[in-house]
Amino acid sequence: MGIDFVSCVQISKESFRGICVNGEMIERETKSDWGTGFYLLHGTKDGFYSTNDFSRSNPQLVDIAQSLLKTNHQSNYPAKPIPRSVTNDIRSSGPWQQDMLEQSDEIIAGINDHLATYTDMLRYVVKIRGDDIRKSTQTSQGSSILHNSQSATLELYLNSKDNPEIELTTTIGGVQEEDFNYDLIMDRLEEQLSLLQQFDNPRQAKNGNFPVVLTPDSTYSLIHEGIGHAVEADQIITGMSFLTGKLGYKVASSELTVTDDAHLRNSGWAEYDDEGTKTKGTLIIEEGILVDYLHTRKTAEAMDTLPTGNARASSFDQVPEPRQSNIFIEPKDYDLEEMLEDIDFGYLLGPTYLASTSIYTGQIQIETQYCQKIENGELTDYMQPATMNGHALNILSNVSKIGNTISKFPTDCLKAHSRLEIGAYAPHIFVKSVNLQ
Amino acid sequence: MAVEYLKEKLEEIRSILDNFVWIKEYQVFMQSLTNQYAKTYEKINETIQENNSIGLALRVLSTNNQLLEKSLAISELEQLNTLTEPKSTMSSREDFELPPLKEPHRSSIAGDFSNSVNLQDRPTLGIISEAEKFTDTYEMPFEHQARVSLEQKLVHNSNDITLTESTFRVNYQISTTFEVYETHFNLNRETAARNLQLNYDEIIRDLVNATISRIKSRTINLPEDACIILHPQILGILISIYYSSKFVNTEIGETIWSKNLNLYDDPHRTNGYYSTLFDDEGTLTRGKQLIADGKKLNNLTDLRSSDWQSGGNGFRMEWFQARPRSYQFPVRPAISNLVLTGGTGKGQYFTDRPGTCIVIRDAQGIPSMGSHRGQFILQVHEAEIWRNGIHEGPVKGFSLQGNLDEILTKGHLSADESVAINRLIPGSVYTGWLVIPPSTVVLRS
Repeated sequence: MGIDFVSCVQISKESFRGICVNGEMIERETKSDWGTGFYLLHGTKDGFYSTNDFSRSNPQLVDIAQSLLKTNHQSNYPAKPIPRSVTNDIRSSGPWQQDMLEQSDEIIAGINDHLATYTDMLRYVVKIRGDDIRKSTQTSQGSSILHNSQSATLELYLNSKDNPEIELTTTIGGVQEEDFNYDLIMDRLEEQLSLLQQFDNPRQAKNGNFPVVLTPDSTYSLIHEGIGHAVEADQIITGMSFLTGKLGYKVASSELTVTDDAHLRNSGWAEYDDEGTKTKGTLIIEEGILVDYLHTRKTAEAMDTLPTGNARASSFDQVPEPRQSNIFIEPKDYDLEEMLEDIDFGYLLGPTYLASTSIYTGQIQIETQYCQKIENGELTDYMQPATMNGHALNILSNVSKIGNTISKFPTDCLKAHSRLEIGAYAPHIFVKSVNLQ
Repeated sequence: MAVEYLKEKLEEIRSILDNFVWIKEYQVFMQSLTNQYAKTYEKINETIQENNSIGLALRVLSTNNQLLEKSLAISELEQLNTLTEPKSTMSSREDFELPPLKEPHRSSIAGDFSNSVNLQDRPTLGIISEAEKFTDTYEMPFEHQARVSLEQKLVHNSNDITLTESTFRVNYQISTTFEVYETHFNLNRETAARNLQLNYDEIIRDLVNATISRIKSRTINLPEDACIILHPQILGILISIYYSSKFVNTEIGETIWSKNLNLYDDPHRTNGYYSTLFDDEGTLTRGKQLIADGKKLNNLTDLRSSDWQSGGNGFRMEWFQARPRSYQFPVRPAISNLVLTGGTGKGQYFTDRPGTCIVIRDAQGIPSMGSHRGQFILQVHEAEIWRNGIHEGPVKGFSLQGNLDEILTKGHLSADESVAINRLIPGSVYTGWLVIPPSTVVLRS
């Protein structure tokens, strides 16, 4: 009896992390990492071994891999070499056009210069992160894939001294040069500064149920937390998700269609997942109906279906698990004014500050950075942060209008103990009734 | 993997760095971490993982006082040969220098016991094998998980002081399928070293029996007038996450919790899970009071945040990572053993109070880390309901939503304490039970 499936992932990563607080660099560190993860499936057993000291461990690697399986049967790995019938070499120019450290210094210096005249009115933090990744995946089913990519993210926090409860956060970045360049960053900085000056002793939003319009960022948070995590198949198999057994059921308004698509050139971009499966767009919700879960090879086998190419690991030393890649929320027909016009009194809920959910119950909580009052179809006062509470299915069934303009942005996602980058494509949405606290 | 291997590699690193004339001073932090993890379900599904990671983080000060910081996997050591002088656009300070290490009073709290830990014997499978003997008598499926980790760290300064320390941790948990009931068991370094010489029979028997007594849970209509009693594990996780967010933004002197509560960081706690004589920057550690009588008193500092003067809480850590502390992460001010005191009474008697109580023993979720308001939402996996001091059985399937400031202002803490340890948290928290009056938090089924 042989081993059913083996994948070997080698990742080499050059990274930069920098944090600047009010003009002072408090972190500025480069990283170099290289290691191998070795994943085996045999019937209902699986084993994983990883090391970044390959030269030291290599003589033992095969023994370890075999002992992980705890089988006395003769293994066909690695005596039989991996056939290389499929080879893919994917390269991307990426957002780093020069040395990451130098380019980061230049950007931070530009931001510091620009904000030098604002230090009386605000505190600020700039976090910049860059990765240059070379990933090689080989599987016993014949895949040999090279995947080279770069990613860049800049997070900008502005905190008003006059109104300390207002903390604006924005993220810029992606996997392409057009997603991350000096001019784009400075334009965004200017937008945020202009927005910060709109707040004049902002008041709190009322508590209660109101019609709301969610900005693209909040729309994404609602879908990612309320649906995205709940359709990851490991949560389904263990019965942890409130969407277990809901395939084919109506879980949201008919307006809503959501896809997970790793092919889009955003932070979740990958042509192959970390088990060497070719990625594809996976329709999760089609006109409100739950149509699919997100699978790895193992979860697909357990649920007697096909893998969806969503096996992702944050590092060579992590076992791939079902994760979202790029979440695409289909735009519809409404512009923002049309969504506002029927609202006598409500709120525009601004970008997400924090979002969390209970996958077990579907309860969700989204804290926004700010909100804006809607009165008689017009946007009026800027208000303090608001917290939206409710059950994901209740909120999603109350979505009645979806915007016609889509925003693309990078985000990251935390699941158990691993953090991954995810891309988002989301429009404004109108929700008839939401509970605010 | 013994400390000797790190010392061998250190010599290699030193010989490379000594070739660069532009290097004025340097500091090397090295870490070797081996994790082994095993999981079985009904003796059919079996998962075994082993991670072996060695690396270093380097701080180099150039002759023109520019600081270069770099972390490297051991497999990338050759990159040191191509190290280039930092040419930062950031301003440099003429008087800048790396603080020298000081000779510690003892070489290490636990010494190097790595030779007595043999991971090749797969202790994780041994633990599970023992546990399965107890669950074989029950006609229900069980999932067993065991995890061990062996960590060695070394800090070396170019002023020729080298500090080393070893840590060994064991975690075990058991769940019934599709019903998540978990119990964590942790051995600190001294007891781990001792217990490894023994078998795990007694430990595992207690653990399994305790877990089995809590199964057969049910979904209930949540009573609105119930007190909530938080297990120290839950309270500890909330405090540690909260610590990294609102607390550090709170002004010194501000009263944030009940006036009888005190919080301090104790890196020298006897048998403390994260006790250490020196931090990852080689600074000798010391205890620090953070909250006195409900009022914020101090912040934790690393070298950078103390303007390169003091520190003592500089750890290479990151939240919500598979390994919360690693050479790969930058130094940040972080907790060692956080201790919350000021409670009265014993937590086990909290359930004797009149009326209805819900005791929350285990929960998961992502508390709103960094929230302005200390808000949290947790999904409760394991809880019990008590009426007028009588145990009515376990309950499940609800979420808990509230605010940490509020529960630590209105709640009542017990005097007895136990340790909260979670793989996601880069530290440990010693705290009591907390009873929260009705209507302070929101329960939703």
